[in-house]
Amino acid sequence: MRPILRLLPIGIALAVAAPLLLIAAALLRPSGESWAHLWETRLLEMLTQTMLLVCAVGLGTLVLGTGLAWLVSAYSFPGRALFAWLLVLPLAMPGFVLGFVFMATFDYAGPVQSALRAWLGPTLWFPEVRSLGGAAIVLTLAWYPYVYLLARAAFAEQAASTLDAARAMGSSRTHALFRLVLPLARPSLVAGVTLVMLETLTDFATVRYFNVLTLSEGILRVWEGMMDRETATQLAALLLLVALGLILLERILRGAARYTQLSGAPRIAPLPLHGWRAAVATGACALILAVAFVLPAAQLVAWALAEQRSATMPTADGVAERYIVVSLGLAAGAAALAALCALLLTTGERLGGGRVQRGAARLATLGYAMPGAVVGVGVLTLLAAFDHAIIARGLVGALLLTGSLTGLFYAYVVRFLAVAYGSVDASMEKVTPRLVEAARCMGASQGRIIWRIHTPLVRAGLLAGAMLVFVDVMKELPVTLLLRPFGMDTLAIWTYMLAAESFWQAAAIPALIIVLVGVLPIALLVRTGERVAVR
Amino acid sequence: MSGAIHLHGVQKAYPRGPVAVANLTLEVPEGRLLALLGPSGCGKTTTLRLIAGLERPDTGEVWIAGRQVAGGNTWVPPEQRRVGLVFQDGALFPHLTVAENIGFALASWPRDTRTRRVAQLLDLVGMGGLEPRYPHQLSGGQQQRVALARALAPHPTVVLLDEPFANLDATLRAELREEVAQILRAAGTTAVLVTHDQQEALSLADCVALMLDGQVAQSGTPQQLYTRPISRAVATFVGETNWLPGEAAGEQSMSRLGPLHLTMAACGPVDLLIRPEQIRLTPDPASAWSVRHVRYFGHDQLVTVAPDPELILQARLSSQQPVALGSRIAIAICGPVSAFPRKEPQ
Repeated sequence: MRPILRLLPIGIALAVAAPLLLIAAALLRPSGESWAHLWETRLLEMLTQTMLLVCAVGLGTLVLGTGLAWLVSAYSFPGRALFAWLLVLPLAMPGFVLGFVFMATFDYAGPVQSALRAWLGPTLWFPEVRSLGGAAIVLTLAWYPYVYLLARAAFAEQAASTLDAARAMGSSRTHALFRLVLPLARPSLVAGVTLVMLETLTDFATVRYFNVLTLSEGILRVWEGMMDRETATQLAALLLLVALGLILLERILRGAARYTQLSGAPRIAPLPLHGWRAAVATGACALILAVAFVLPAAQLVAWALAEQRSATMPTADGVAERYIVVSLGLAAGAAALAALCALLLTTGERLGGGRVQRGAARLATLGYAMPGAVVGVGVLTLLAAFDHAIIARGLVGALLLTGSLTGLFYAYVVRFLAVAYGSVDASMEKVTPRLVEAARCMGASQGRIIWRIHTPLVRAGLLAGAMLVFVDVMKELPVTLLLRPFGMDTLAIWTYMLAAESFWQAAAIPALIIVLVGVLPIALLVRTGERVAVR
Repeated sequence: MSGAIHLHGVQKAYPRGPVAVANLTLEVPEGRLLALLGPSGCGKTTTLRLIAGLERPDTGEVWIAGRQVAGGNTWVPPEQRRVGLVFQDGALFPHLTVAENIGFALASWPRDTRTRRVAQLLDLVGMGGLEPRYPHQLSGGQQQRVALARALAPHPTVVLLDEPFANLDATLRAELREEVAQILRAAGTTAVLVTHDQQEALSLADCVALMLDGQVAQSGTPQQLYTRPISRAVATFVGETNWLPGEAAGEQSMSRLGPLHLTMAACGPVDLLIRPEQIRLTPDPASAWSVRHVRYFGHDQLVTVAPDPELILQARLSSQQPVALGSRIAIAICGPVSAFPRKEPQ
């Protein structure tokens, strides 16, 4: 049992790191020819567009997320307690779903521009919706909750005495916010914005709707269009560099700073707002929530109902069920696998106990920071190499991994292991070394300790981690698109394809299912949050 | 090797840390309760973990019940040592009931035998009928009782207790430690109790081993440690001390308090150890000694007396005896005192 526990984490880490290393290795062998080819694929445009979008979305979510978090943390106004949780809801709506709803609503042929033209005449100027600005607005609305959640948690950790001290020294509430509260919350804000930026790097569907050429979009386009593995790999390597750069930047910005304050101290007391100020605060929260979630969701419901009535899509019935089964199956399988790997990693770290195992855990969780396209192309390259080796040995047939379920699950685990790991690791902290020692002294074998002590104690963490992976896989696009076995489509892919062809009504049904599944972890978050608040 | 537990020349250093246990030799007689006493960081918990097999000694041998479990090429892992362990925080499994906790080590037993053993142990620790409770539903004292029952369940050869009363409040601690000592004696188990509380060690144990800096400074019965400490460090750790300069000649010594009987023969300039409760005070207007300070505790009182600022003694008296601040008082010492060679002031 012991050597297995010691070796398994290392095995998992190597398996997760292998496709990423393979992509990174591509950087070391750029021949002049393929770079010339890359240049023709509008490389410079891809890089600048990617950078602009990442910065715009990062800045947008920083302002929106932090602002809303400060509003609900430091002031009280009608509906505050409710908004505090409802403002997280947009997390349930994937960027590409919000993207196509916006596109359908605000584009030239959409209801908004049509109505304005009918009212103000046909020569009306309207900003171009299919643009980098449009994409940035949509992605900001979709992902500000990451920053919002982390900022709110950071504000909640800050003791009221700090703010009181500043105000006693004559600084205004706003002045204290910029001089004291925000600098104290910096590590959390940086972490949130980095998460958003990495998500932006991963996205290709939203930007495709908005005609923005980013690196991720380029990789998918090169792959779909010409099956050009070499170019796709080179682009993926570049994307990997950008992602690594962002992570490095986060480390630098966060610095050694880790400000924690006494947990028992009283929290910042919200200042009651009255009259027009209260109305503005409530209105701002309601507006953001409406634009980012309620109106798009209502639009999806309306479309879905219309689609039900008209049933213009002849394929809708049986196919829909198949997509649902495939999606649920893939998500459940990936969730179980990721949870199992996370359990092995965390137990290995604690029972195997060496620095090697801790390093393995670090390595194995790197995949989450890597854009989906990088993971997808990396896994593809690795599997192709395997297949080559198999063919070379004359073992052609059922063993081929490219385009198999094995490959898809492998890629999901590489991409999402970190999500499950974080959750399992947090609950594993509850299993103190004392408990394990007590069990050992009572004659329990390692296997029995894992089964009777670790597993039940980390069950909640395992379930939560598995659920997060489940939801992530449900709305995953690039990895699935690159690696799915022939003819196997998920709800997300179905939505994306229909929307890409402007079949808004038909796309609404699978999109709604994805949103509903996405609400699950938020409900859990609210419940946990309330439990914490009660304590 | 005789004795239920025997450690011989055991050494343990932590990586990049100081030596926790240095050349330790210790023996616990069969069926006895040994207290491993010492200040924090003296290596007593490490010693316990070495016996349990949770740490592996760098050198030296560990024997349990005549079987070598560590040393040389021998290594028996904790799960095969038949050792019961009670931690400071109980370390009960939070997701298992009281019955499941106690029955954890009895997994291979038939169900009804196991159920009977659990009930019997719960009766033993005075918690009969609480099988279905979960640890978080128990008080701190109850948790420690369950932890003890759990450790005793598989009939271990030895039971090891690591500061089991440290997290309890004073009244409960006094009550529970009395009970635990009784339970251990009733079970006839050899036990090692780690504690930093000298009262706990002296009042509970059959023998006490005082550890200082990773080594056993002195071991013996509680009386031996208290009345015949072999060094100043031991004397200071196990109780309150007064030091009186004197001149020893054989079993007698001379000092400002007249001739005093010694516990052991000595010679030359010495410091005499006088425990506060050895001092008797009687009012005497002619005496050079006067009462300088009184600290009243209720059950007794600590009275500071001095003839001049050079010499100060503290006496522990019954709280019934009236003592007036500043009054003249005569001093008598009862019982023999220990003598230590005079430390030359440098």
